[in-house]
Amino acid sequence: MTGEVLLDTENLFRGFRPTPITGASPALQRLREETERVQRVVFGTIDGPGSDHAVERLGRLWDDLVDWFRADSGLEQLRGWSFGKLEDVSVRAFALALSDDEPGFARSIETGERRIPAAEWRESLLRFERHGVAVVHADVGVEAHAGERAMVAAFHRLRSGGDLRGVAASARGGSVPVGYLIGCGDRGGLFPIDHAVAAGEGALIRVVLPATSLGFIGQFGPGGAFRHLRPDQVALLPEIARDARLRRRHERVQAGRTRRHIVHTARRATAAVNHGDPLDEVVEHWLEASLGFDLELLERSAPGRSDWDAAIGEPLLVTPIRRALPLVATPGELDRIALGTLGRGRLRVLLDTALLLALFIERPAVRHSAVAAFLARTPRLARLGAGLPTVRRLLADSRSVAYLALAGESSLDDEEAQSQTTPPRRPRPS
Amino acid sequence: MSHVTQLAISLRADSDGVLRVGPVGPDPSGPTVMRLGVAGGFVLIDVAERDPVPVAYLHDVDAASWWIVPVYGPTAATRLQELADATLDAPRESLVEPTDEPAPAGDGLRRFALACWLLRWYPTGSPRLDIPVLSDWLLAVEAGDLADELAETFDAPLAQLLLEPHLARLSAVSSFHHSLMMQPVGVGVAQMLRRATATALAEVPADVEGRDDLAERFDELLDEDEAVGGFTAALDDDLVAPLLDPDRSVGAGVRESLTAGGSTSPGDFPIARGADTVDPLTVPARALSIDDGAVTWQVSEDDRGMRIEVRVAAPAPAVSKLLPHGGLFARIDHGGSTSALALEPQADHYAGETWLNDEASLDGLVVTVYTPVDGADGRAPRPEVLRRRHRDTIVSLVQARLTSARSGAVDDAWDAPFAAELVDTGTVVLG
Repeated sequence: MTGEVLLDTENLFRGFRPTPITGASPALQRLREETERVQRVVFGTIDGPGSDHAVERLGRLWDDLVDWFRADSGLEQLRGWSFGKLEDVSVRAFALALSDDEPGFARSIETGERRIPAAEWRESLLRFERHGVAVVHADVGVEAHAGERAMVAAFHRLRSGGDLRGVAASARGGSVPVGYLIGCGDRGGLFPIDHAVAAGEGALIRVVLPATSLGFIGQFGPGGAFRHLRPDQVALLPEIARDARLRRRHERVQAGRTRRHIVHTARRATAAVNHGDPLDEVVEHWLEASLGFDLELLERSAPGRSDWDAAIGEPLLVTPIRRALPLVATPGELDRIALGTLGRGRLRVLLDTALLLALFIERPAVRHSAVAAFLARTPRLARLGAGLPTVRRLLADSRSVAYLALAGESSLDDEEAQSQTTPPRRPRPS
Repeated sequence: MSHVTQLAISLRADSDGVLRVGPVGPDPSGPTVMRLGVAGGFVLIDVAERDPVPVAYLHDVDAASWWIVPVYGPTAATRLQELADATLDAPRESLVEPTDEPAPAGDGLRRFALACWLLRWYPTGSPRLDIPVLSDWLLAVEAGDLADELAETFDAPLAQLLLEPHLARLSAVSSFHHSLMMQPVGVGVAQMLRRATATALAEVPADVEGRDDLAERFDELLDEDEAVGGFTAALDDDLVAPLLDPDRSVGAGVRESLTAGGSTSPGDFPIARGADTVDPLTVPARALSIDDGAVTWQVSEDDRGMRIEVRVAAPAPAVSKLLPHGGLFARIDHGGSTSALALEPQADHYAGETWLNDEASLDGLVVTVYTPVDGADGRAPRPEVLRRRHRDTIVSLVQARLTSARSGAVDDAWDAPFAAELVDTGTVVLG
C-alpha cells in the first residue's frame, strides 16, 4: 500500500524565503537595516534572506511533513510529486532542500542542467530522494494556477490507477495508491479535491494548508466552502512543523539519539517480521534473481561484454547493477573485474551489494527492515542480508543517490532502461 | 501562560504595504526598546514595560505567516492576512479584542527579546551598584535555547549562532547537570543547560571544534549518574572568580585614576582636568566601567602646545576579551573644535593622548569614548545628564531583575530570572 504526496509547491512554501525589504518608507528600511546591524553585533554574524538556512529548514520541514503523514495514515511507502515553476523562489528552495546538501547537485539545479525530459508531461522533471521518499518535481508553465492544475490532474490520474507517465500501476507490479497528502492553499486546487472526496472512492485524503491560507481553516465540513473534506482531514503546515520541532526538542533531551535510533530500528524490524511486511513482487523478483548469477561466467567476463549480461541472468538487473557497481567496488576491484581476475567470492559480495544498493535507489520507498525480514525468512537469500549495512552506509552518502538518480530513469518502472548500455561513470572520490 | 492575546491587538496596513501589528511606537531608538529582526520584518519590544506587546512591522506577510499564529494567535493572524490581501491603497486598520486563544510562542518571543536586550545592555559589574559581573555565555546559551524554540520566527540560524561559541563551556558544566537536578533551586538552570546542550548538538555543524567533545559529555550525562562527583573539577572559574577577586572590582580602576591624577610627567603643568561618564550608546556593554566619571582626562600645556590625556576605567577582563583589538577611541569637543584619539588597552584601563587646538577654549570640554562599531565619529557628544539618564535606566532595569532573582523563584514568564541572573546573584551555585 502506497501513499502519494502531491504538492502545489509554489503555494505551499510561499514566504519560506523572506524577500528583502522594498517599497517601504526609507525610515522603515533604515530601521530594518539598523536592526540587522545591531544583531550582527549581538549574534556575531547573520545570514541575509535567501541564505542556505532557509533551504535547510525547508528540508527539515519536508521530513516533518512525511513523518506526520506516515504517522497519520499508517502508510510507510510514499511517493512525492511537486508542481511549480522552477523560477519560483519557493520551488527553487524546495528543490535545493531535497537535493540534500549535495553542493554539486544544488549548483546544477541552479543552471537547470539536470532536468530530465519526460515524454508524457512535456515539462521538465527533477527527481529527488529525501527521507525515504522519491520526489519528482514537474516544472510547469508560467500561466496562472498552472501548479495547482497540474497537481489536480496528477491526483485524478493516480486515483484512476495510472502513473504520471502513463504506465498502469498494475503493470509496474505496484498497487493503486490508497492515501493522498495534498499540499495546497488555493481554492482552485482544493475544490477538485473536495469534489473527489464527495465521489467517495474511499481513499485516505489529508490536506495541508500553507500558513497564508489560515483563513480557510473553518471552511471545511458541512456549511463551509469545502463541504466534503472534514476539518480533521486538514492541517496547517506551520503547526505540523512547530509540533514536530517541539517534540524533537523534548525527545533529544530525554535520550541519546543513537540509542533511540537503535530501539526504533529494532522495533520496526521486529514489526516487519511479525507482520510479514510484504514486499511487492517486483522487489522479491529482484532479490531472487541474485540466485541466478552465473559466477563462473562473470569471473571471466568484463561488464561491457554481452556475455556479462548473460551471466547476470535477469536482463532487468544488468543496467542497475552496472550503475551501482562503481559505488561498491574500489577502482582496483573494478579493473580486476574488467580483466576477469577478481576472485569469485569477492565478486559475489560486490554483486550482491550492488544489487541491494540499486534496489533501494530505484525504490526509495522500500523499507530496509522489510527487505531484511524477507531475506531472513528466505534461507536461500540470507547471504544477501550481509550487504545491508554497507548499502545503508552508501545510501547515507547523498552523492550515490544523486549519481544514480541522474544516470537514468527507474529501471523498475521503465523498460527502456534495459537498453541502456553506457558504462557507468566513476563517482567522485569522497 | 501567554499574555499576548489577553490584550487588544491593533493592526494597520499602510499605503506603502507595511503592516503593523500592535500599538504605535514604542520609539525604536529608546534605550529600553529591543529590536529583533524576524522573518518578513522586525519586532519592537519595550523591556521597561510590564507585559509588553511585541510590535511587529512586516513588509513580507507571507514570510511572517510562518510565525504570526503562535505569537499573536489565530484571530490576529487571520485579520492580518485579510489586511494584507486587500488591495486598497489607503491605510486600513483593524482591532482584535482580547481572546483566550492560545499564543504559545508569545511569551517565548518576549523572553528572547529580553535576553537579547540584556546581552546588549547589561552593564559592567559594579559592587557599588550591587550589579554582579554578567555570565555572558550563560545568558547567550539560554537565549540560544529560546531561539531554537522560536526557530520559525527568524530567517537566520540564531540558535546556532548563539550556542556555537560556547560549546566548550557547555562541555565543562555538563557534568554537574545531575548535581543540580538534586538541588531544587537549580532544577530550572539544569534543565535549561540540558536543553541547550541538546540543541547545540542538533544545530551546530559536526565539524565545529568542541562539538564532538560536547556530544561525548552529553552521552555520558545521559548514561551515567556518577557524573555528579566530577562537577567540582569541571567548574568554570570564570563564573565565580570575578565575584571573589577584589582586584577585579570595577570601582578600583576609577578610584585609582582619580586619586593618582593621571600619568602626567613631572615637567607638565595640568591646566584642566575633569571626568565624564561613558555613554552607553557609544560603547558596547560590559567593556567599560559604568560608574560616574569613569572617563578621566587632564590637559597640560608646555611650549609645544596643549595636550590631553584620557584614561578610561575598565574591568580587567574586558580589556583583553571584549575589545581585543583595542578598537576604542575618544572624541574631544571643546570650544567648537573636535579632536580624536585612539585609546590603547593597559592592564585595567584604556589610555591615550593627543594635542588639542590651543586656540579653542577649554570651557565645556567633553570627552566621548566610542567604538567604530557602536558609535561614530559624527555622533555629537551627548550631555553628561543624558548619558547618566540612559545608564541609570539600564541599571535600574537590571537591578530590578536581580532583586527578583535574589528573592527566589518567580512563576511569571516575564519576570522569571534567567539562569545567568540566578548564578551571578549567587541564588544558584554552579559548583
